[in-house]
Amino acid sequence: MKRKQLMKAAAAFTAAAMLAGCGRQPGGTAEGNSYVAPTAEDGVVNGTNLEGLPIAAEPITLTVGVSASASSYQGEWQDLDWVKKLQEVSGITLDFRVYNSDEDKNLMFTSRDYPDISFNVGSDKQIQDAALGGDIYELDELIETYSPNWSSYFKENDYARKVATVSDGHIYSLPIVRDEPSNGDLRDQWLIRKDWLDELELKVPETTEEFYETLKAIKENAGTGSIPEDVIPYYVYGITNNVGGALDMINSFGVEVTNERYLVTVDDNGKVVFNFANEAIKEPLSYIRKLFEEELIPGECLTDDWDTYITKTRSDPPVVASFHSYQNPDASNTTIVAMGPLDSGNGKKALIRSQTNQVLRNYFTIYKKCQYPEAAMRLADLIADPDWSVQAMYGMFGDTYLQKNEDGSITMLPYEADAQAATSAPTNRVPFLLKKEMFDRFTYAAGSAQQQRNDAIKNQYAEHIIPQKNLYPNVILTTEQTDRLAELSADINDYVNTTVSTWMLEGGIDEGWTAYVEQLNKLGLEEYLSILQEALDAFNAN
Amino acid sequence: MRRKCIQDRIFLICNTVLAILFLAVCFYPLWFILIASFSSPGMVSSGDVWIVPKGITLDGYQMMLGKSEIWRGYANTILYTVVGTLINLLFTITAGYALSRKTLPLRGAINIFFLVTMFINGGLIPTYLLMNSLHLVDTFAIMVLMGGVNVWNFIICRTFFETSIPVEVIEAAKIDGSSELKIFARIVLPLSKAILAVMTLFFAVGHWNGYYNALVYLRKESRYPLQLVLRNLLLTTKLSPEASDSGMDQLLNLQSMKYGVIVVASVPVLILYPFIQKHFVKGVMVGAIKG
Repeated sequence: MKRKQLMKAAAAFTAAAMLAGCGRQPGGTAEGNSYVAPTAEDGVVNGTNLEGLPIAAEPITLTVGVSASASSYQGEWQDLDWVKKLQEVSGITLDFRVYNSDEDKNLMFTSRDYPDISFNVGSDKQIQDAALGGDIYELDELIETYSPNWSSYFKENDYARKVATVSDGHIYSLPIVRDEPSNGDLRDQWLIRKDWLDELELKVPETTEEFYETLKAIKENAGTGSIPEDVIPYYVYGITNNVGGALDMINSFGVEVTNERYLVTVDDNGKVVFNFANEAIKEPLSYIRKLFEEELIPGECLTDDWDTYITKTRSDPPVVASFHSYQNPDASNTTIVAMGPLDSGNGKKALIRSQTNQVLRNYFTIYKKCQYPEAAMRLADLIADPDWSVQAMYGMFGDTYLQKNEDGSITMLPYEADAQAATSAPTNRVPFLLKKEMFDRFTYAAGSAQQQRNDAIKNQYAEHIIPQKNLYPNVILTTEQTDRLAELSADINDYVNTTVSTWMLEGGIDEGWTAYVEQLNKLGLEEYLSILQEALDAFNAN
Repeated sequence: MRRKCIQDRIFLICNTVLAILFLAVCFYPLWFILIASFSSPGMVSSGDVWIVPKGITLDGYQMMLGKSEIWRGYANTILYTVVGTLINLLFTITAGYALSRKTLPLRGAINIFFLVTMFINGGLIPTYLLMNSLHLVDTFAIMVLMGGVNVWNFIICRTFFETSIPVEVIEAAKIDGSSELKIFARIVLPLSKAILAVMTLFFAVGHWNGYYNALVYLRKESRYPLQLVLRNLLLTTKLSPEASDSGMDQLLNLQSMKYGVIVVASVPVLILYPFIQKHFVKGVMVGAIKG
């Protein structure tokens, strides 16, 4: 509530500030955002070398706005090896300004107290508003002139260009690109404890019926062998949660559901579909209800928080037999193995979710107050270099994290989990550019999360993954669309969650279905879908 | 001892039971944090740790030792607390004393000027803009200057001086030829130890626990106070659903560390409190009752 008020105040203030700002800043219109290249002398423009390293021809300092994301977890920006090296090589001194919360990010935009550049600070709305206020550079021209890496990437990858382009047709911020199959091709692995199955002389279930029988057997054998007394046969972190939820159970019945954005999917004709209002979802929901009813899934998992989900699924000694997670906690892949999606026997193909987080917007913005936009863009180009990008994600070359081989391939070195690039790399908080080709010459360390996922995709899920074209892409919305969608999705998602949770605990799916669909329509489902459809069509046409 | 009547006894029993319950309610969270910091993180999160620590481990504390940002935060907090409290005391006590003197010209107007700020303030964004144009954002100064005069505490001081320092004493000093500054330093301050102690505690605890100003106005991680480091640490364990959950084992370890950090962060205040507590009741009461 408080935040909402603050946001409103912030919005009102921005408007006021813009009106007031028009007088003193001539760049009050969208044209004011464009970049005009100064003339170069001897390969130097505005203190910046046009080619080669270092980037800075004279001492340049850039203030960089960054999100904190856990300073105590990852070490301070200034101390990261990657950052130190970047400053050394580029000749640019980076002065970090760390933003800890939405509140102080809002303050930055409303007070217009900007840094020179920012990495992952700013929502679509904030960036678009700032662009409207003439506070940030349009990057199109800068990319074309100073960033061969990004300009060629946008030419060869139209999807990324679409994601980065705002509705006025310009690019105001560079994205982060992590086109890594082991990350994007699969959301959650569906995991089951193989050691318990072996003790009960069962095989890994392949159909929903077998899964049910397996869970029942585990429950009946609670307290025997290594299966604990308080065993949880199947744990889901809520029904509709994108991470750890029961969505892949529903997908097993061939009913496509994802919750990366707005609970919708896209059918083969490019139409936005809301399967939670589709009659077909009754079958998987009834199945899950049966598991709840027989206490094969504990009721409290619908209200558990993230910490509880993590600790229950990773407890020692183990209590959960089957669950969904990005990473298999068992590095050796022997006691816990990937399973599913299950054959439901209804004739539809079982599916499992993939992700659309390969390209995310708003990771690099240059503000108008920056005196060295050329140097800033060349810095972005340097970060987008494959070597710099891969080091940003997985740690520096050397003998701890990554090893660069003579043939250009890269090998991830085995590391202690605790040391995972922690003091070395900023990971996915900087605008790096990791193309798919990078991972053709990249070898993961055995037992690493990404290696496990690669194996799971190859051996278990390849046939079942929901294709990218059926996922709702990372479209850009106009400010009005964002506001309206926020209202509608809050109502609709809350209603879906509470209703489905009640059904899981108390039953009544068939009886309540008509009223449920009616209520969804009352809450504005049609408008919700039409906004999403409109945004999707605009995105595709862009 | 006089025999108590039945009502008295019932009252006493009820009173004691309620007081014990109240104590338990207040004390349990502290106790839980303490035992949780020594217990295995898995057992804490799954709800097994309840009255006594289970799976005793010092991993959390050990991990904390290696985190330089925690100790830097600790040093920053001590610095902010000491300097900030001194500045608070300097401004608040002197302002309180000056306005307690009936002889001060425009006393009523100045009082109202102070009072208005209690009810009407600029709000976050204008305040930020002001601080920004004063070039105070992201400086050491803002952490100790911001809120230098706390109007509420100022009123407590003023009332204290008005009620517990008799005007006659001041007049007597004047007749003996003492200057105003001397009266304040030699006579009023020594008579006001109680309020000094109370204000010190109020301000010091405020600085010690405060993270909001740091959150809004500090940008350099090297300037963070402990509470902000702690806040980030607590939020780390809550990943957004978009994020991958690799590195979850680290998060589990952080869980045990976070309780340890809370313990370490609370200890100085807990130690400070008993020493000031005796003044505390007296000081506040004096201001409150007679005011």
